[in-house]
Amino acid sequence: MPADAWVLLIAILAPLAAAGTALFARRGWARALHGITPVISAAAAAAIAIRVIEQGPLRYAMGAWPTPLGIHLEATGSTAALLLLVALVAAAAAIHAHAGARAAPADPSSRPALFWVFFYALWAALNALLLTADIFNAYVALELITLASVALVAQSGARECLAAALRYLFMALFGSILYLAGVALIYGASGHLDLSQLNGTLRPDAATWVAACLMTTGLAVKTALFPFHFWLPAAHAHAAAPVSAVLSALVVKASFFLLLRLWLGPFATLDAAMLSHLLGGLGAAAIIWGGLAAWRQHRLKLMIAYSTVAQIGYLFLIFPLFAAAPSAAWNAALFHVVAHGIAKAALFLAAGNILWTMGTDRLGVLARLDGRMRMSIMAMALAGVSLMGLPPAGGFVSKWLFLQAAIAQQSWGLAVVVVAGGLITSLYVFRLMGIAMTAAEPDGAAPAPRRVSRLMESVPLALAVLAFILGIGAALPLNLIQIGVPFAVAAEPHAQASGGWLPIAILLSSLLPGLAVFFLRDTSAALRTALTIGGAVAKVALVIVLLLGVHAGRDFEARIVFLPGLDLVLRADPLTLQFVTLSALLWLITTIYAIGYLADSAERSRFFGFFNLSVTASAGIALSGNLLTFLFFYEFLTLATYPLVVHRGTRDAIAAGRTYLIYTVGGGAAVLLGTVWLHVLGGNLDFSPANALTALHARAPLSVGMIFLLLIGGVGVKAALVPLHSWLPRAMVAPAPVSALLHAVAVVKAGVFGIIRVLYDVFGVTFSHAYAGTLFLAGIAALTIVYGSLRALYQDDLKKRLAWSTVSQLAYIVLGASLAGPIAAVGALVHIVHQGLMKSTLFFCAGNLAEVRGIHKVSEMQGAGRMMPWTMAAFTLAALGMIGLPPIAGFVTKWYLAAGGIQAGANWILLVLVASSVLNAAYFLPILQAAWFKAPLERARQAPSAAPGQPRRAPTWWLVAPPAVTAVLSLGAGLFAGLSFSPLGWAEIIVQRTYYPVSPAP
Amino acid sequence: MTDLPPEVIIYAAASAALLGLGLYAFVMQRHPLRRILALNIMSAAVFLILVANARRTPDAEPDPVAHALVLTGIVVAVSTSALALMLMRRVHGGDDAPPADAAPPDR
Repeated sequence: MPADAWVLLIAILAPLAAAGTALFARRGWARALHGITPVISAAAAAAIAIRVIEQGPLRYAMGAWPTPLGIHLEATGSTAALLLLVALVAAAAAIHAHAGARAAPADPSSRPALFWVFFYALWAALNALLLTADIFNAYVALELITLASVALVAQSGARECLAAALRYLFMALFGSILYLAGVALIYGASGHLDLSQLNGTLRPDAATWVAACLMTTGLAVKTALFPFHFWLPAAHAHAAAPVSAVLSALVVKASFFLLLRLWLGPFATLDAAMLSHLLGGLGAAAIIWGGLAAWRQHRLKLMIAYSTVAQIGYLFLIFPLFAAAPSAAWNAALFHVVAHGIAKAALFLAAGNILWTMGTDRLGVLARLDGRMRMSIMAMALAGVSLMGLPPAGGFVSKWLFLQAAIAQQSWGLAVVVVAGGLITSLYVFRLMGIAMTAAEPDGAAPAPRRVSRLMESVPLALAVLAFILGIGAALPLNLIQIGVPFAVAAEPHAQASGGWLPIAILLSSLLPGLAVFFLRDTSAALRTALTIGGAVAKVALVIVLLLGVHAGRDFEARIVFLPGLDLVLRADPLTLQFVTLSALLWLITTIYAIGYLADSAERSRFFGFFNLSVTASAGIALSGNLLTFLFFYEFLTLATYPLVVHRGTRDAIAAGRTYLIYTVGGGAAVLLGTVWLHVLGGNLDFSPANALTALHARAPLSVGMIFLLLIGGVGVKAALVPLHSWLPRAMVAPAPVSALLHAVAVVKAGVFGIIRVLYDVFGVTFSHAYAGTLFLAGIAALTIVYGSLRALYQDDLKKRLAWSTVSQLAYIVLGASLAGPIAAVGALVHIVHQGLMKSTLFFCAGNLAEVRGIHKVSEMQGAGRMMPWTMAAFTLAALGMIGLPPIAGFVTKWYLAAGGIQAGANWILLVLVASSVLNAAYFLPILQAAWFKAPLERARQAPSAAPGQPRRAPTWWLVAPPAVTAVLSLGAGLFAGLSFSPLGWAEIIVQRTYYPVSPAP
Repeated sequence: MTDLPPEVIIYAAASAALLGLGLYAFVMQRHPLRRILALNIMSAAVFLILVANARRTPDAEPDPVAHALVLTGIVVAVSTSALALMLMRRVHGGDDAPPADAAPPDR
C-alpha cells in the first residue's frame, strides 16, 4: 500500500480506534489514549497537507476495489486545510475536556468514558466525510456525525439538554433523508456514486434538478442555514463547552463542505443562477438575523450560538459570488470556514470556563469576575475581533475577499450585508467587552466561584491568539486551500524588500513590552515601569537610527504577502518619519506622565498593556506603505484604545466607549469598503506621490467620488471632522494620559495623517489639486474650525473645552492638506507636530489640576496659578501658542496656512483663520486671567478636602516635568522654526522632496 | 421520462407519494413518536427508489450495489430510530401522553 494511502487511512482510523477502546481504558491507559490519539490524528492531517502541497491532490481506492463497488478517498488542498482545522479544534476540545475532568473528578458533569467514545467517533466521522469521494459513503459519515453529536449534546442528562438533543436529531435525520433521496436519484440516473466520476456525467434534466434540490435542502438543514437554523442555538448552547466548540466550529462546516463539493462538481452542469441567488439571499438574511438575535441574548453561550447562525450565512455568499469571481469567492468561503472555526472554538471554550467558574453564563456575571479569568476574557476578546472581521484577525481576510468578490460582481446589496454583518457583530462583541470592563459590586448571594485550571484557560487563549494573527500569515492557508481547484491564483510577494528589520523593530519595541505587561501583577510596578519606559526609549533610539538611515539615502521596507497581488508593507518615507518621530517622542513623555498619574490606581497592568499596543498601532500607521497596511493598523488602533477610554469602568466611561466605538468601527468599515473598491477598480493601493486617479476618474467618475467619500469619511471620523466629531468630547471621561494620547499622539493624528495619505499618496497631489471633492473637504474643514471653537467657548468643563479646541485645531491640518498647494501643505504637516506638542501640554496640565487640586472646571480655576505655578506656566505657554501668538509654534502654522490660502487663490481662508484666532483667544484668555490674576475661591479655602482647590496629592516630578518639557518644545518649535531640523524645516523637506518640486517659501 | 417502463413509473410515483406523506407528517405532527414514524416513512420512500434502481435493464441481473446501499441505509435508519426513541423516552419520562413542551421556545 502506498504511503499516501496510509496517511489518508490513519486520519480516519486513529480516532476510530480510540472510539473503540475508550470505553475500556482506565487511569493510566486512559491518559495515554487521550494523549496519543490527538497527536496521531493531527500528525496524519499535517502529513496529508504536506503531501498535497508537494505533489498535488491525493487519491486512493480502498482495498484496490474499482468503483462502484469500492470507495475512494481523496484529499485536495481544501480537504487538507479542513482536516488540519478538525485536528486543531478537536485536539483543543479534548485537552479542555480532559483538564475539566481532572479539575473536578467527582463532579457529575465530568466526562465519563462514554463521552470519549462519542467524541472520537465524531472526530473519525468528520475526517471520513471530508476525505470520502463517494456520495453514499458521505451519507454514512453524515449519519455517524449526527449520532455522535446528538449523543454528546445529551450527555449531561438534564431535561433541557435532552429536549435540545432530540430536536437536533430530528432535524439532522430529516436533512440526511433528503440527502439520501438525492443520492438515490443520482445513482439511478447515472449508475455512479463517485464524485469525480459524476463530474460532467449528469445531464441537466429533471431528475438531476430534483436531486440537486433535495440534497441542497438536506445539507442546508444540517448546516443550519437560515431559516433552518432554529435547532442550532439550543443544541450548541446546552452542550458542554468542548462539545459546543466542536459542533459550532466543525460539524456544521462539514456538511457545508459537502454541499460545496456537490455544486462545484456534479451539479456544475445545472444552470442554477436562481438557486445561487436564493442561497445567497438566505445567507444574507442569516447574517443580519443571526447577528441581531445574538445581540439580544442574555446568556453567553446562546449569544455565541446565534453568532454561529450569522457566520454560517457568510459561507453561503459563495453561491451568488462564484460566477463572477470564482477565486475570490472560493478563498473567502474556505478561509472563513477555517477562521470562524478557530475563533468560535476559542469563544465556546472560554465561555465554558466562565460558566464552570461562576456557575452561570448570564452576561452580567462578566462584571463580577473581579480580576479572575483574564485569559478567558482575553480569549473572548481576540476571538471576537476575528468574528467582527477586523484586522489582523483571520475573519478580516474572508471579509475582504467576500467584499472583493461582491464589488467585482457589482452586487452592492451583498457588499452592504457583509459590512453590516461586521458592524452587527461588533455590537454584541463590544457589549460583552463593555460588561467585562465594568467595575461592578460583588453579588453576595452568588455561589463561591470555582477555580479554573490554568490549562483550561490556556487552550482557548491559544486558539484565540491563532485566530487573531491568522490575517497576517493569510497567504499560507490560502495557497493550501487552492490546491486542486482550477481557478487558483497563487499569492506571492510583489517585490523584494530590504532593510525591513528596522520598521519591524520599531513596532516590536512597544508591542513586546505591551504583551509582557499584560501578564504582570498590578503590584509589580518597578518591572512594569522598566519595561514600558525601556520600550519607549528603545523606540526613540530606533527612530533616530531610521532618521539617519533615510537621511543617508537608504531604503527601509518590510513586506509580507497577504493575498494574491496584495502585500502588507512597512516602509519609511519622509512623511512617515515626521509622524513616527512625533509619536515616539510624545509617547515617551506621555508614558512618564501616565506612570505618575496612575500611581497606585487599579488595573495598571491592563492599562499599560493597551497603552503600549496603542502606540504600536500609531507607529504602524506611520510606517504603512500601502492603504491595506494602513487599514490594518487603523483598526488595530481602535481596538487598542477602546479599553483605555473605558478604563475607569464607570457608567459614563462605558457609555463614552460605546459612542467611541460606534464612530470608529463605522469609520473603519468605510475605509475598508473604499479600499476594496479601489483595489477592485485596479487603483494602486501603494502609497506613492506618483499616483493619480485621473484615468480612473475619466472611466468611472461616480465610483471615484464614492471611494473619496468612503476613504475621507472613514479617516475623517478619527480626525473628528464635523459632523463625525461627537465621540471626541465624550471620550473625555478617560484618564488624562489617555486624553493626551487620543488628542495629540495617536488617534486623531491617525485620522489627519490618513487624510494626508489619501489625498497625496492615493489620489495623488495633481489629481487632488484639481478634484472638486478636495474643495468640498476644505469647506468642511473650515466649518469644523469655526464650529469647534464656538462650542469650546461654552464649555465649563476644562477637559471638554480642550476637546472642542482639538476638534477645531485638527481641522487646520485638514484645511491645509486639502488646499493641495505647497505652502498650505507645509502648514498642515507642521501643525501635526505643533498641535501634538501644545495639546499634550494642555491635557497634562488639566490632568494635574484635577489630580492634585481637584479642579475640573474653568470656573474653579481662580488662583490656580499661585497654587501650581509650574503647571500653569506650561498651560499658559501652550494656550498662547494655540491662539497663534508669536513666537510660539501655533503662529508658524497659521502663517503658513494663510500664505497657502492666498497662494491657492482661496482668500476666504484668511477670514476663517482670523475668526478662529479670535475665538481661540476668547476661550483661552479668560482661563489664564482667572488662573493668574484672581484670588482663589473662598469656598475652596474653608471646605473640606473634597472641594476643588484643596491639595489631594503631591505634584510629583512625574506629573510636572512632562508638561514643562512639551511646553518648552512648543516654544522651541516656534523660535527655531528657521533651522533645518525643526518641525517646520522637516515639513518643508517632505513637501519639496516628495510632493512639489518647488521651494515652498511663503 | 416517457421512455421509462411503466413499473418504473409506478415505483417512482409510490416513493414520491411516500416521501410527501412522511414530509407532511414530519412538518405537521408535534408528538415525537409520530415524527419518528414520519422519518421512517421517508426512509422507506428512499429505499424504494434505490431498490427500483437495481433493475437497471429489463433482462440483465439486478445491480448488487443498490441492494448494498439499501441494506446500509436500513442499518443506519434502525440505529438512528433507536437513539431517537431512547431520547424521547428520557425527555418525556416514558409516558406516551403528548408532552406539554413538545416545541419548547429557544430560551
